[in-house]
Amino acid sequence: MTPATDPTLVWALLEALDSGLIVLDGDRRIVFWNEWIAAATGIDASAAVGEPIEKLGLGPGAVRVAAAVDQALETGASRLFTSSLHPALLPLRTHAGRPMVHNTTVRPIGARPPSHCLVQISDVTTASQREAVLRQRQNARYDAVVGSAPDPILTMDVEGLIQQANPAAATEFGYPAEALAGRPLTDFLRDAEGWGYAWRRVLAGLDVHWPVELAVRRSDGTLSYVDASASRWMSEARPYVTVILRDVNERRAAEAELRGLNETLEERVRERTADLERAHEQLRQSQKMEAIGQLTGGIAHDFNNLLTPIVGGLDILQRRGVADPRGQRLIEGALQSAERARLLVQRLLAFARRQPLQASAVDLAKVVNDMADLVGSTLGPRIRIVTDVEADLPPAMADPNQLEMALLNLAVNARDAMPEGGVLTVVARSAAVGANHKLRAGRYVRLSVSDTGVGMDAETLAKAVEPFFSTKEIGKGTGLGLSMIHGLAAQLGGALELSSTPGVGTTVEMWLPVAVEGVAAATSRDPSAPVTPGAGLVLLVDDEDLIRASTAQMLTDLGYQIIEASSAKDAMRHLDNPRLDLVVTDHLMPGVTGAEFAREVQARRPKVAVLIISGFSELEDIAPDLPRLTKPFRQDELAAALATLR
Amino acid sequence: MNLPTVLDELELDALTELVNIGVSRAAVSLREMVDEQVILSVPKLRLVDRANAVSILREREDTRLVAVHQVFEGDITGRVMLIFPETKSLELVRAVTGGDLPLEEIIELEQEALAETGNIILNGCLATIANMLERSLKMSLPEILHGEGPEFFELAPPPDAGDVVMFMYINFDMQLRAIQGYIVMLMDLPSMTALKQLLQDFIYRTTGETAPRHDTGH
Repeated sequence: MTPATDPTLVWALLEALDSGLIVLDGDRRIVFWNEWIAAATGIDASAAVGEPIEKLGLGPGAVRVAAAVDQALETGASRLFTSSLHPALLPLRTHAGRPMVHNTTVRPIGARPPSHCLVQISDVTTASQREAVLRQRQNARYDAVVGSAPDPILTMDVEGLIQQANPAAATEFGYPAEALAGRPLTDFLRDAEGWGYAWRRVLAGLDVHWPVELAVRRSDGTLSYVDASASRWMSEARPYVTVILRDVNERRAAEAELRGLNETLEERVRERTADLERAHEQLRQSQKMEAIGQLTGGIAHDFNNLLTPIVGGLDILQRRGVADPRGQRLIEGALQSAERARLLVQRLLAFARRQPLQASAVDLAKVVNDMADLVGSTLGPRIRIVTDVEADLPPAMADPNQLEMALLNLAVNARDAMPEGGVLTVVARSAAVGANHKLRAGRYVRLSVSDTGVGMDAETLAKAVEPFFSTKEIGKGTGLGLSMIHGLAAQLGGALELSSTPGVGTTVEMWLPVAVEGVAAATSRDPSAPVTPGAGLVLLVDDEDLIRASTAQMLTDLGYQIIEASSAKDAMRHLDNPRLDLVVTDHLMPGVTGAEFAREVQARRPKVAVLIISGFSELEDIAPDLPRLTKPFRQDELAAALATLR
Repeated sequence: MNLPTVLDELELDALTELVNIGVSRAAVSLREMVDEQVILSVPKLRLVDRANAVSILREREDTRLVAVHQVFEGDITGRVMLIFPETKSLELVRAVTGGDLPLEEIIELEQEALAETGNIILNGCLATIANMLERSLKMSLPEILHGEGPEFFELAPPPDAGDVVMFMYINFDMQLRAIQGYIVMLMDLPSMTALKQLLQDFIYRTTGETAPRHDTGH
C-alpha cells in the first residue's frame, strides 16, 4: 500500500507534518492550511481557508508571499524567503509563544501552467538561536581584543576590501567603521605602491619585512602616518588578512625635527659665528677707541708740556714789546698758532676723557635755549629748529662750557647733513636706567639732537665716533666733534648713542647723569680782565726746565719772587722758609707727584696756598679740592689763577 | 555544431532585451527587500559551447567561484546559474544586508543570502522570458555551488544531446558597490530549437515581421 492511495492518510500526514503548509488555488485563495501553520499564526483553518493570504492580517510579509504566489502561478517560478534577509517575514510564534525564526518557500504545483501553489514554512529558531549565541560569544571575544585595542585593526578579504574595522581604525581614518567596510584600503592611502608589494606577498604567504610605513589620508584631508603589519589567516578555506596599524605621527614629528635641526646646524653655526664675530668686532672697536684714547691722551699731555713754554715765552715777549712792529706781528702770529695748537690738544684730551672738566649741576633748558638762540641765525633760513625740553627737568651733571660746545658741534653737524634744509630737533628728557645696562643704574637726562638729513649707513655709523673720521670735505672739519662729545659724555659718567637711517636722518643722544646738587649761579671769567700784579715769595716746582723757566719768567713779570725746584723732593727743603707765600707745582713728576707735595704743604704750612699746573685731568679724581691751572697757559691766566688763591 | 547559426542576430537581440527586462524586475524586487537603489543590467549575451564557457571563466576569473543554481523545465528545459567570484560574494551579501553587520555575521548569512538574492535575479530572468514567450516553465528552488568553474558545466545528469551555453554578463550596482558576475543558461539542442522558435514568434508578434527561418539541423 502506498500512502497516496489513501486520501485520508495523506491528509492526516500533511496535517501532522512538522512544518507549515499552505496551498493556494489558481484564484490565490487558500485551500489548505495545516495544523502547524494554524498553531504558529493563531489562525484556524476554518478562518483561513477561502481567503487570500494577504487578507489574514499577517502584515507586509504576507503581501510579499502573495506576490511570490502570483509569480509561481503565472510563470512557474519557485521563490525562497530566508530568515537571513527576512528575519520575521510572517508574525509566527513557537508553541512557547516566542517569535519564530522561519524560512519560507513558494513553489508552483501541478502541470504547466500550475494549478496550485504551495507555501512551505520551516522553523529555524533553534539553529538561529545557536548562531546568535555563538556570534555573541565571538563578538564578545572580538570586542575584548580588537574592539578595545588602541591600534587600528582592519580585517580584509583577498580583494583588499576592508571587511571589518575596529573603533581605533575609525578614529585613525576619521570615518565611521561601517563607512570603511567594503572599501579597498588603498582608497585611503596616499601612496598605494609600497603597500601593494607587501599585500601581494602576505596574500601569497611570503615573508614581509614589517612594518611598512603608510600615509593614510584621513576624512578631513590630512595625512596620518602609520606603521602597518599584516598576517593572513583562513576561514572555511577562504583567506583573510588582518592588518594592524600603529600611529607613528609623534615619532615622525620628532624625527623630522631632528632632521631639521641637523639640516640647519651649519646655518646655526654660521649665525653663531657671525654673532661672535660681531661681538669681537665690538670689543675690538671699543679696545681700539680705548687705545686711541690713551695714545691721544699721552700725546696731548706731551704737547701741552711743549706748548707751555712756547705760549708762555711768546706771551712774555708780546707783553714786553721787545721787538719792532714787524717782529711784534711775527710774535702775534706765532702766538695765534700756538693758541690753535692748544685748542686742538684740548679737543684731543676731551676725546681721551682727560680734559679738565668743571662739572657742576647744569640747567639743560637754559643751555638748549641759549644754543637755539645762538645757532638759529647761523643755520640759515632752510633749517628750522625745534626744541622740546621736559618741564621740571632735573639738572644734569656736566661741564656747562663743554656741553655748550658739544651742542654747538652737533648743531653744525646736523646743518651739514641737511644741505637741502630740514628740521633740527633738540629734545631733553629725564630717563631712568635700571640694571643690565651699559650705564650705571640711576637717573639720567637724555639730550638728543636729530636732523632730517642724509643719514649714515651702518658702516659709517660704526666709525663716526673715531677721532679724525669725517665725512666732510677736507678742511671743513677736524673729525673730532663726535669723538669729543663721546669722550665728554663718558667722562661725565654718561654715554653717547647714535642712530641713523640713510635718507631719513640722524639722532645723537647724550646721556648725562642727573646732578645731586642744585644749579650753581653761572660765573664767567672775563678774559680781558687786567692782569692782577702779585707780590710775595713763590716756590715753583717743575721737572721740565723749559716750562719752569717760562713759568718763572711769567711770575717774575707779575711781581713775584721765586724759588725754583726741579722736583718735589728738592722743593721740600724750602718749605720751612718763613717768607714763603705760594707754591706753584707741576703734577706729573718723577718721585713725589704735585698732588702729594701739595698735601705735604697743606700739612706743614697751612697758610701757604698751592696751585697745581697740569696737562692732565686725572688730578680731578685724585684731588678735586686742589686749585689748578691747565697747561699751557698765558700770563693773564696764571695771574687770575693765583689771584683766586688769596 | 555551428553555434552562430543557432540564434541569429535579431533573435539574440530579442533575447538580450528579454533578459534585461527580467533582471530589471528582479532589481525592483531587490530594492523593495533591501530598501536601497539596486541597478542590474545585462550588457552582453553570447552563445558558446561548454568548453568555451569554461575557458571564458578561466580567463576572466582567477579565484574560486560561487554559483546560485536553479533548474527549469517546460517547453525549454535546462539549468540556469548566477556565477560570481567567491571574493565578491561577501560584498554582495553586505550590499543586500545593509552593510553594517560584523564580518562573522556576514559570513554566517552568506549562503542563505546568496541563495535568496540569486533566486530573485534568476526568477526575474526566467519568468520574464517565459511570460514574453507565453510559455509556462517550472523552476526549482535555488542551490549554492562552490567551485573552480568547470564542475558547474558537468552537473549530473548529463544532457541527452549536445548542449548550448547562453553566457551573459551581469552588473550589480548596489549601495555604491559595483559587482560583476555572469548568468549562464545551459540547454540541450531541442530546447534551444524550441527557444529559437519561441523567439521568432515573439519577434513576429512584436514587430509584425517574420524573421527569416534558419535550418537548425534537425
